[in-house]
Amino acid sequence: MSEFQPVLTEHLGQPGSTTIEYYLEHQGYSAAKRAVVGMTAEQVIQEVKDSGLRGRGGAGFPTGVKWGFIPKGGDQPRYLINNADESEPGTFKDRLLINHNPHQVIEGMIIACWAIDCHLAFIYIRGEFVKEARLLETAIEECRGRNVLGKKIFGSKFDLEIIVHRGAGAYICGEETGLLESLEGKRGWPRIKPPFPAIAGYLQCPTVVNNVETLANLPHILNRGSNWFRSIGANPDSPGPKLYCVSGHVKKPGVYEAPSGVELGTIIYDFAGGIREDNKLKAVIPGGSSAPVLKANEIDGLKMDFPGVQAAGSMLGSAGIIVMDETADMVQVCYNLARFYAHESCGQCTPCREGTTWLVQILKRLTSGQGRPEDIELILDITDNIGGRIDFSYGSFGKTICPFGEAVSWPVRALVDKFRAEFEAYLPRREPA
Amino acid sequence: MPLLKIDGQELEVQPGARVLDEALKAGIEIPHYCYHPALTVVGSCRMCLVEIEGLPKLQTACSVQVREVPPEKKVDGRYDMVVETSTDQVAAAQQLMLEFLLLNHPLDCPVCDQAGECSLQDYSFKYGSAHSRFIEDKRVRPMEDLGSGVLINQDRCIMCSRCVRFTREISGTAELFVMQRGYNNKVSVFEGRPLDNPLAGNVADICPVGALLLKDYIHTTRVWHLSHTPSVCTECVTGCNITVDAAKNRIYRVVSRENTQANGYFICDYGRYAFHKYTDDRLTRPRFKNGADWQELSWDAAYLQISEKVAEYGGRGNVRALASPTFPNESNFLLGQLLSMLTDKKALGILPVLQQEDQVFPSGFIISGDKGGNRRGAQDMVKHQAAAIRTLYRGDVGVLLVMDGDGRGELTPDLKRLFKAAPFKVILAANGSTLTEQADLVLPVAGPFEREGTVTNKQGLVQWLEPALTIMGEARPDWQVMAELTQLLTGQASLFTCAGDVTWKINQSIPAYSRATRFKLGGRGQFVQGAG
Repeated sequence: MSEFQPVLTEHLGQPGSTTIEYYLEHQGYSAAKRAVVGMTAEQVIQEVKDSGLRGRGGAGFPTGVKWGFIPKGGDQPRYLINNADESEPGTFKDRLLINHNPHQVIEGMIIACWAIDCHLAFIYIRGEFVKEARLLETAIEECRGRNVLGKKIFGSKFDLEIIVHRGAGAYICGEETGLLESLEGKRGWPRIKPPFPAIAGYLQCPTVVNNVETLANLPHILNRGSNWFRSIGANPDSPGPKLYCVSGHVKKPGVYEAPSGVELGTIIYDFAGGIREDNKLKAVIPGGSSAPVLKANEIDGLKMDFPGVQAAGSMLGSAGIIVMDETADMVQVCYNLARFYAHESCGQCTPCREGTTWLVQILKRLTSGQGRPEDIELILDITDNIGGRIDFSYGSFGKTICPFGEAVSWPVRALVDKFRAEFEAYLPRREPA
Repeated sequence: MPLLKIDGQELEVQPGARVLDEALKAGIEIPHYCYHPALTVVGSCRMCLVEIEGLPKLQTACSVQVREVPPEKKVDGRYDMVVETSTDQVAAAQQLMLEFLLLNHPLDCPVCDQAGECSLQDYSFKYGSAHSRFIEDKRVRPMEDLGSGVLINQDRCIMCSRCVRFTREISGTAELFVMQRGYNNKVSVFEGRPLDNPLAGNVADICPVGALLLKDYIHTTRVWHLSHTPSVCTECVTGCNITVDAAKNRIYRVVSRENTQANGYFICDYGRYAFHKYTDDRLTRPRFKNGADWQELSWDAAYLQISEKVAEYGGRGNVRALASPTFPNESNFLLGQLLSMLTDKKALGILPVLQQEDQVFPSGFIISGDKGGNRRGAQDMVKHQAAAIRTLYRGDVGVLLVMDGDGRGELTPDLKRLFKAAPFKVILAANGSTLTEQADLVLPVAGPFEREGTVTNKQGLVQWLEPALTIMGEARPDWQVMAELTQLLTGQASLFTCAGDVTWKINQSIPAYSRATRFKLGGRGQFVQGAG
């Protein structure tokens, strides 16, 4: 394999990289223009299907297939929503993309809109990203001035408007149906599926929700072709350049771009400079906080693409890699995670509303030395009752409306399963009778 | 038609039918809280999880719809869907869901009004576990007054959101909303924007647990002391179906009863609380005006007085009458018959009753402005004899027989003139009102919740009025008083022994009502012929 050249982050840090002038000088909007002027929607969808691009938000669903679910014809408007809620702990790649190259994201949106015949698209950005929202708004304004957005873009008959909508800061609004409810001005409570957003999404119209990174890949697929895209990475089922967010106990935390399927060891030791103070690696959460944790001995040769991480019993998710060295107290990690999820549970359905806080209460008791031996089994049982067993063969086994149930249950279950001795060490010692 | 199999039962269902609906129709219980047939499906309580063949994960029966599948996908080559509601997996899920729901529940059943009719209690007993593994402190929150006489006990709430959806979808007023997030979720109202709509009481009816409570009913009795009488509200021409809950001849509350032909699933607060007004100034003995004072007398003396007055004021031919749009068909029918025997003239009018604007809600629910609950029935009963009131006072008016409007009768200028023209006015009434003040003789009859007979709503739905209370004091059933008056004034012996006998006579005499027999009415009613 030849030396990998960054694709998505090629212009990172260049002066003026957020302006349309800079972007146009570097082949900007050529792919969008070619799509809108010279390609049919079917051709674009086929090209994206051929590329094998899988959604970068976490679930890894093939993007072209998702677009294909949008019903053909009909007089309902269709909507594209760019999910920039990026709320998964350990994930900060979308923010980087927007911060350094907002036009790349907008170009991706134009291509996606053309493919699904959408004339009004939204960027749902989390409330905390104030600077990023402003950047996007400025970029969209620049596009309107250059006929890249607005009426009859690129001189074609295609009209397109993009609206930036800022969320109010809830984890669950990153879930696509929670996002749709929030965008409609309602409480961010996920919807029951089916119907899926492709049939009845925003305002009950066909809707595609794509992640920022997914969309940013699109101009490159059209510019360099689907074969080029599929050739990047270790597994053609999950190809393309990928952004990895590394945080935790490493020397150089940050976002690193690499081909899909790069080994986790490479990311941690080569890109991120290894473990801080050259401590021993203890555990890694490979795909954002809702991915089950992996022990140090499980990451040898682990390929960081969707099938690779899944084979190891976790998930690539949003590729938010959280590294923990030997100093990490896994019970505290578990308690911290559980607290986050209990705080973010929307409270709509029973198991998640009641179960997440129950977990926190038990863990709090355990960490303050008030644990009972049966608490550990109880924790496992509660996670089963919220999120079901860890199983990737079917979408989800949870008893909840949305995947939040799995998102809280699986990491907690994995932590208890893999570091049970640490949990038991927290139990108060009983003197022999 | 898709073929559905639930627990071995084969059911042919409409495409798009919900599994939960079909199961309940077939008599298979699937526990549920958030699902209500009149509200949108949210699937949030997770209580109705069932196993569906071909799907590895448990599904909520409320949200899954049955549709025809291609032949090669049919289960056993026949079924479009196969559902199991009581496998080990389902039973475990139900038990666990109840454990979650009861974590923070105060278990204060001994002081809870819902006890005895509480889904949480019933399901816990049937599907739950006797022990909880929860040893932490329970969440404790204060009770809140939501407005319109509705209280919420936050500790008992299970967040099914039925009430929130009700105010959004049925009343369209959207006062209720979910406040806070996750564990701290609670149903509440905005400050200064209380629950304020005439359908508000329904939220307590649809609350599956004891969270939403009516101030009017709270801590007054226990449900197991109550008798539940299925009846019909006659406060307006919608004819809502109600259940009257009473004990020791006192009504404690009125709740809605589902009838999609009439009111759907809900009732208005006017109807819900109407029973209170019928305890005021209840008339229990006949009385006559002696100068400026009322003086009580016996029924025999009252009847004697009527026959004397009829003779005194021009004989039978001068008797005039007003039928009542709030009384049942039976007494109105007998009044019509009586008048046709007394005179050839159109000597009968219909008592004017309060008319207001209709209140229409976004869901289509209507609180009719026409407060003559049985107007259509009264009209049908006296169709051929009825005349405008102004024609009644123009001729010779002798004794005037009036059936009361249950406090809703209006003293229109025409009615005032008629009262002025009539030298002797007999009013059949249950409660004292401005109308009975005008009478010379008042005959006490059964009150609205004591009456038996049929009423016809504005769509022509004939329904049976089941008495929830026994008749107070010496008051008599309205149909009986009319039958006795008939005997008194015509000399013909009455053959009627109960309200049903009169109903049968109506079936025989009025073709449109031939099918509205006591038997066929059942609990749902029967449309008059040519209506529907």
